Amino acid sequence: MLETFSALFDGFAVCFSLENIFACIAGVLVGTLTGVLPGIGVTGAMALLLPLTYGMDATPATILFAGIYYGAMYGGSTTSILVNLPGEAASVITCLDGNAMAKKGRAGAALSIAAIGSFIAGTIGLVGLTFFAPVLADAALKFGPPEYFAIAMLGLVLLTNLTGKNALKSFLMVLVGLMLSTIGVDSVSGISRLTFGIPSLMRGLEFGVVAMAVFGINDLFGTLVEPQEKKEIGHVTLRELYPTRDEMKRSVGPILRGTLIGFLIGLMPGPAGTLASFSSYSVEKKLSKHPEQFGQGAIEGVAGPESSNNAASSAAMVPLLSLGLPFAPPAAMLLTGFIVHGITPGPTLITQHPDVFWGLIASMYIGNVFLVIINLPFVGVWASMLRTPANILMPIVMVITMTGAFATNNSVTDMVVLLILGVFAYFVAKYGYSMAPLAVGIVLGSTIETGLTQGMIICEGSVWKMMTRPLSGTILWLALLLVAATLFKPVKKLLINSKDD
Amino acid sequence: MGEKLVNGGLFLLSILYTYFARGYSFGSPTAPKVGFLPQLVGYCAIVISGYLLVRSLMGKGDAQNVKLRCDYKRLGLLVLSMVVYILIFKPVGYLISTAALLYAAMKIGRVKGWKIPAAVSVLASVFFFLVFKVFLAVPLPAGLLF
Amino acid sequence: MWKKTLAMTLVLAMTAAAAAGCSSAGTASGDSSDYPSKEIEWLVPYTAGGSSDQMARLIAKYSKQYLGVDIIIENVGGGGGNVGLSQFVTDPSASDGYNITCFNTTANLQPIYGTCEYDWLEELEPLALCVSIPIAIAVPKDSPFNTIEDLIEYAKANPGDIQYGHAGIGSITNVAAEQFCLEAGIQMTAVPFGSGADALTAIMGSQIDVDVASLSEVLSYGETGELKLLALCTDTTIETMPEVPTLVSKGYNVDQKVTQGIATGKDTDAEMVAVLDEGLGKIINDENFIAELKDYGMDVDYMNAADFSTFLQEQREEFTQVVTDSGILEQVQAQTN
Repeated sequence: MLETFSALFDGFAVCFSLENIFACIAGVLVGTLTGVLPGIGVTGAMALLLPLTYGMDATPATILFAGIYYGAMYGGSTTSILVNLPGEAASVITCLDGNAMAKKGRAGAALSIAAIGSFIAGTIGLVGLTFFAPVLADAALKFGPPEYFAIAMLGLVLLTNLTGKNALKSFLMVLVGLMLSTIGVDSVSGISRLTFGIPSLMRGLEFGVVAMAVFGINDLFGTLVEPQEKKEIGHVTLRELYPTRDEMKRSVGPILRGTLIGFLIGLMPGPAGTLASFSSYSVEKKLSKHPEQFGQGAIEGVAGPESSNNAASSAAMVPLLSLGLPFAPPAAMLLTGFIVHGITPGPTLITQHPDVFWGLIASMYIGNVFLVIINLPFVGVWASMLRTPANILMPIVMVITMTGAFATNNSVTDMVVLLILGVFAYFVAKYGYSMAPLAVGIVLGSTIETGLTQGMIICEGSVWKMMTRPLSGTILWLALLLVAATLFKPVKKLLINSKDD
Repeated sequence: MGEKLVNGGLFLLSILYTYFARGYSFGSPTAPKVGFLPQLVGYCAIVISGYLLVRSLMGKGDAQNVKLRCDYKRLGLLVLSMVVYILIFKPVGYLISTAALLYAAMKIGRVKGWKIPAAVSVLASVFFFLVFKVFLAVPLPAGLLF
Repeated sequence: MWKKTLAMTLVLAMTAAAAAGCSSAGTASGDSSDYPSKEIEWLVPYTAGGSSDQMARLIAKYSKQYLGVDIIIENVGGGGGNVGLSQFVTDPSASDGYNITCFNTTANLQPIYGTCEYDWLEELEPLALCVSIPIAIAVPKDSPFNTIEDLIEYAKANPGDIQYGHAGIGSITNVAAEQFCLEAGIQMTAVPFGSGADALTAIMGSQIDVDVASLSEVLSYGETGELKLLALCTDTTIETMPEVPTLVSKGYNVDQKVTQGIATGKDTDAEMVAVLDEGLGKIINDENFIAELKDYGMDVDYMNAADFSTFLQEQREEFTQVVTDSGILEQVQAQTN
């Protein structure tokens, strides 16, 4: 323990060189921008900046990349809250209550809590990384395909209870999301499905495009084609920009719980940040004394998820640094960054290149501080942007989404998808079908499918075997119990009613 | 009425999807193939959307009384302008098409006058062009301009 | 209120313009009779971070020196390379001399199964072979098997019991594994993964019994003992681990490897092809390049355009044979029945 502290201290010393500090700031700034702009993903940004880092040493280069990664988690919440557009997959859930808060004039509070929660979670997550990395990495490996499937299923079950008044409609939306996720070439078998001969569909539907369509375009259409009531938000004072004491108090629990949830889920491969934020939202809703407030602007619904996705990005570093295994595309990019500079992460990283390892970790603490410093003052600027009349702001947002859609893969097809899904979402959402489950479906789709396929082979085709494996079994039984619990009330009502007849 | 249409549409979608999913082999639990999950999803979706459709047809749907306040003419115009945008995007180039789309969208959104929409359209298009193409190196088509 | 919006937009536009002015986005186009006179675009049909991407970026690092221009890399990943390659061949600029792409083993295998619309061997003009990576059979460190004979013995006594992971149905690792099973007369159950990295994660967690993987993925773990390398499916031995036997030395005729090459559009001008051929040849044979590539775990295996072309034709014939014999062709086609 003491050695860890002293090594960390050395890391800080390494960090305070001009080059490293500069790399840190540059990284988090680019990361925030990436998170804010839909269509530019973290991996894309890293790939773009990679050649620029050739001339740099290993340490500043990796600090830069890491900064982009967790910086994006801060930026993603900004557009989610302001204009209901998730900048990153992990920020989808923040749209629900964050945007609701913005509509009530509490955008500043939402943004602030998101930044604060992200900072606390990111830092605590880093502490976990610092002290427990090797242990956690080994534990993470115990999760195999059956477990990924189980966790994804649990995530689905949790989610269908979350949104919309009708669980069946939510589940149907999840299924639609799953359907959308099957479009494209299946990564395991190389067979293309549902592409109807269109080459650009072979890579599948990009999550960012789908999210922009079902959240952003949807909202946009509403603003532009429906009669608007004149709503004067009025002059917002500085005090109103920041959270009230009550809001801060209510956020403490969600932030801490979100950190724990996010960190644990972040250790797993796949879309950890997204799963983490959904789980946190669901937990907060269940624990809240006012669950009906969720979806209308409950601050817990912003504090929890935003914290958990930052904790998840810290946790994603664990398998990468201790085992050299990247569990998510940005981590793979980081791995490349390492290798280009002659460093192979893995069990030998700490011993062979302690300055890089500890310098990197120290830089992440510093980076989080920078992010909070950068993001908080801008809250006022962002919030005042909302005072632009909606019929001017919305077209601009529309253009950002169209451009972002094109930018994702330099393909006009993505814009077409954006339009079609947007129209679909607009009509369907009016009738009680919530879009968040659809987003979840498409995110979790490939994890569920590969987890199921590989899991079934590993468990030799027996569902029972999957239910009795220690890890996947526990999770699946938990999911089943939750389903039973949800069905309990309506079934009871049905039975009581039929007794009365 | 609206709910019945939407539910019906989803039901049709589920049937269509399942039809295509059946074109891929299902395999078996010990050796699932590419059709495994899609078919499972498809059948589930048919059952659920069918149930919801029947309920709404019987008048027991939970979104019976939703009335859309949508101005269909404006919506049609908006969608049309987006389609045009997509078509002219590459040949005409980013700047001109985006400025045009912005102008159109603002007028559909009932922004009064022409000076503000024009100014915002041009300035915003230039701004995004610079951010995406120059700063982030995304290849936005130059089209007619250069 | 309007003024505020206007002001903000103006400020934003001005800042952006200033930023643009300071950034060096332009490229000088020199003598137009000199080829190449502008940057070359490399469409890497795999996601950033994979071994093809790493190789491409390393080559790009040396391109200014030997080709005189920069190479810009664009990643269009998905479908084992199919998505990016489809995009490449359907774009008319593929043969203008300023666009290149990757040609890997998978690209030579996929068309045999009939799962993609194009035959890459016909659509592309090979430029150079850059890298060959051997394929290894690895087991977890606490596995009961210590030698390849242990594995074969157990497999004979318990057919189908051993589960092995590979990088995708029909991929070269899948083919190598099935060929091994055929030669040794055993049966193993295949657990398909989307990529070598996913299979690696699974074997590290002992979720599967065996991983048939490209050596660059497992070498460092084999050296530190995290994984045991039982045998090589390629007929070359490892310098740092000479004790790992090749299947050929044990009497099983399995010699497969992962090859990564470079290609361009099929209608490219012959002169341009010659220039690219020569330039790439110089890069790939540069000492520093070879050393850096080795850091990535990849060994340089250079062939110029003509040799590479012949190699691919021969490889295609061999693959067609192996794929039919080992039953993989049936397996893949069964997916769409």
